Amino acid sequence: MDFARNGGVSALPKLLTIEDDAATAAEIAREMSGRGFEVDCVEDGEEGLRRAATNTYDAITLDRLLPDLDGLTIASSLKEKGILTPILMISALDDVDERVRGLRAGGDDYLTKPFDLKEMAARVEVLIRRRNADRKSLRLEYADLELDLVAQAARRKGQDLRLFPKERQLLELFMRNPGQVLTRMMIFESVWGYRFDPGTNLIDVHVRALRQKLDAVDPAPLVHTVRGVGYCLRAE
Amino acid sequence: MLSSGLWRSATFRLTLLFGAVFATGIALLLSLVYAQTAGYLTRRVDRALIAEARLLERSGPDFIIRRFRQEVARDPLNSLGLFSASGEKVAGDTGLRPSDLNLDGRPRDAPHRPGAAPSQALGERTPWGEILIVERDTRQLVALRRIIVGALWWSGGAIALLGLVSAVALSLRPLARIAAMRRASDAISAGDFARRLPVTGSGDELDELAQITNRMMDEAERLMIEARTVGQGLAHELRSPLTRLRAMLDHAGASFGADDPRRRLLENCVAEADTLLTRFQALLRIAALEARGRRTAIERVSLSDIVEQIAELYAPLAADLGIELTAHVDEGVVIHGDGELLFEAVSNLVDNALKFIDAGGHVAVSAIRDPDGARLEVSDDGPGIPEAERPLVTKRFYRG
Repeated sequence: MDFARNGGVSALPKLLTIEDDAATAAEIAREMSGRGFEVDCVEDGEEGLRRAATNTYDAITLDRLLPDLDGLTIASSLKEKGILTPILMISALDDVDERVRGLRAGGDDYLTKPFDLKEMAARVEVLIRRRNADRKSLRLEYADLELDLVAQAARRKGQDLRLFPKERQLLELFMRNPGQVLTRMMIFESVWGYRFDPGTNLIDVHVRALRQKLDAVDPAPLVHTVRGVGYCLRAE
Repeated sequence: MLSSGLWRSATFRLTLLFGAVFATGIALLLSLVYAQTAGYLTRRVDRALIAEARLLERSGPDFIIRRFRQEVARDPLNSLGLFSASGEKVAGDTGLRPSDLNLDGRPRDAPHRPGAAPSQALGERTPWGEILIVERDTRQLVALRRIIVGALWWSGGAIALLGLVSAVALSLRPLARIAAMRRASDAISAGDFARRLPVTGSGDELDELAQITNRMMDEAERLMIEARTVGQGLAHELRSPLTRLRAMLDHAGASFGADDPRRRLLENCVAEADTLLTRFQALLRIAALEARGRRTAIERVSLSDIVEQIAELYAPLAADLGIELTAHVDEGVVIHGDGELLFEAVSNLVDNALKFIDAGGHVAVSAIRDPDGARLEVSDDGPGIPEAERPLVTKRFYRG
C-alpha cells in the first residue's frame, strides 16, 4: 500500500489498524475496505505509533494489548503530540476499570473482543463523523427535521413533535449521525449512559416510539431498521 | 468464653494432669519416707523398751528400785513404774497406770493424757508378781511426723497452684492463636479465599496444622480459579468463531432474495447464534463481576434516580406488552453502592418481571425510605417464584 501518499488528497477515508492478531486485522481490513476505507494494518506498536504520528489517517483502531508498546501508551503519546485522530480501543479485557483507563489515556471509544464487525465499523464511522461535525451546534437540521437543543423543541415539516426527554436525546443522536448505522449497544450507551446488554427489544421499542411520532407527521420513513445491526436515519 | 475455652484447651488439661500425677508422686515419696523413718524409729523405741524391761526384771525384786534410779539418771527420756499386784504404785516416775495398758509385755502407743508428752510404753507382770511399766518419750517421733505431713501438704498445695498457673499460662498463647485461626477461617468461609491461617514460624503442632490447612486452601483456591477461568476461557474462545459464524450466516442470508426459503432458514440460524452469544456474554459478564469482586466502585448513589430511570427505560416495552409499569419513588433515597451494577440488577429484575407475566398484568418498582435505611422493591402480580425455588434463584445460572 502506498503509504507516502498524502491522506488529504485521497478521496477514500484512511484507517490505521494497529493489531498484532493477524486474523482480527484481516477481518477489520476486509470489513472496512468493503465500506470504502483504505486500510493500513501494522502489527507492532512502535511502527503503529510512527505511522499514526504522520497524521494522515481519519481513524485508528488500536489493540489494547500489544507485544511491545502498550495500547494505552500509544494513545496517550498521540494525544500528547497533538494528534487528534479518533482512536477506537479494542481490548480483550472487559472490565469497567479497563474501559475507563483506555478512554482516559486518549481512546475515543472502547470495544471488547470478540466484537461484531458491523459494531466495530459503525463505531469507527461515528468517531470520524463526530470529529468532523461541529459538536457545539445547538440547532440541528436534517431533511425535514429540525431540533433546537436550547428550546428543546423538535419539528418535522415545521410541525411540533411532542417528545419525551429520552426520545429527544435519541433523535439528537440520529441527527448528529445522519445516514450512519447505529447499533443498539451504541444507542444504549449514548442515550442512557449504561454499558451492558439491555436485551434486544428494549431499545427497539424506544426507537419504534420515536419513529411513530415522526411518522404521524409524514409517513415517509426516516428511521430505518438495519437488520441484525441497528438503525439508521436517512431520508429516501 | 475464655474460661470455657481454657477448660477445653488440651494444653490446659494436659498440664493439670501432669500436675496431679506429679503431686501424687511427691505424696507417695513423702509417705514412704515417713513410713520408713517412723517405722524405724518406732521399732528402735520398741527394742529399747523391751531391753530395758528385761534389764530391770533381771535385777530381781530386791534390786529393782536401785536400778530404777540408775536408769532414770542415765536416760531422761525413759520413765519407769513399779506397781504392786493390785495396782498400787511402789516406785518410779511414770504417769501411766497399769489400767492404761495391756500388761502383755508388748510396746505400744501410750494413751494420750492431757499435759503429758506423747510416749510409747510397755507393761508386764514381773516373775515375782509385781507390775512393771517402762515408758519412753516419743516427742521426736511425733514432731518428725508433723514435719513430714506438713511438708506433704505444703508441697502438694504448691504443686497444685504451680500446675494451675502454668496450665493457664501455657494455654493462653495457643488459645490466642486458635482465636486468630478462627477469625481467619471465618473470613475464608465468608468468601475471602485469598486469606490464610496465621503461621507463627515456631514450627509447633499448631503451625504444622495451619500449614497443612493453608496448603489445602491453596489447592482449593487454585482449583476454583481454574474452574472459573476454564468457563471464562471457554466462553471467550468460543465467542470469536461464533461471532464470525454469525457474520457469515448473515452475509449468506443477505445473498438470497427476500422470498427465498433459504434466506428464512439462515435468518433463523443467525437468531440462534445470537442467543448463544447472549449466553456467553452473560457468562463473561458474571466472570467479570466476580473478578471485580471487592473493588467495586462504591459511592453515593440515588436509588430514587435509578428507579426513575428504570421506569422510564422500560415504560415503552411494558406498554408494548400491555403491562402496566408503575414507579413509586420517595424523594432522595440515597445509599452507598455501585450505581452501574445496581442499575443493571434492577433492570434485570424488571426485565424478568415483564417477561413472565401476561398482558394486563402489573409491575411496580419502588425506592422507599425505610426507618432502617432504604428499600428497593420490584413486584409483579404474575405467578411469582414457587416457595421451593426461592433459595435457588440467587444461585448462578439457575433457570426456573
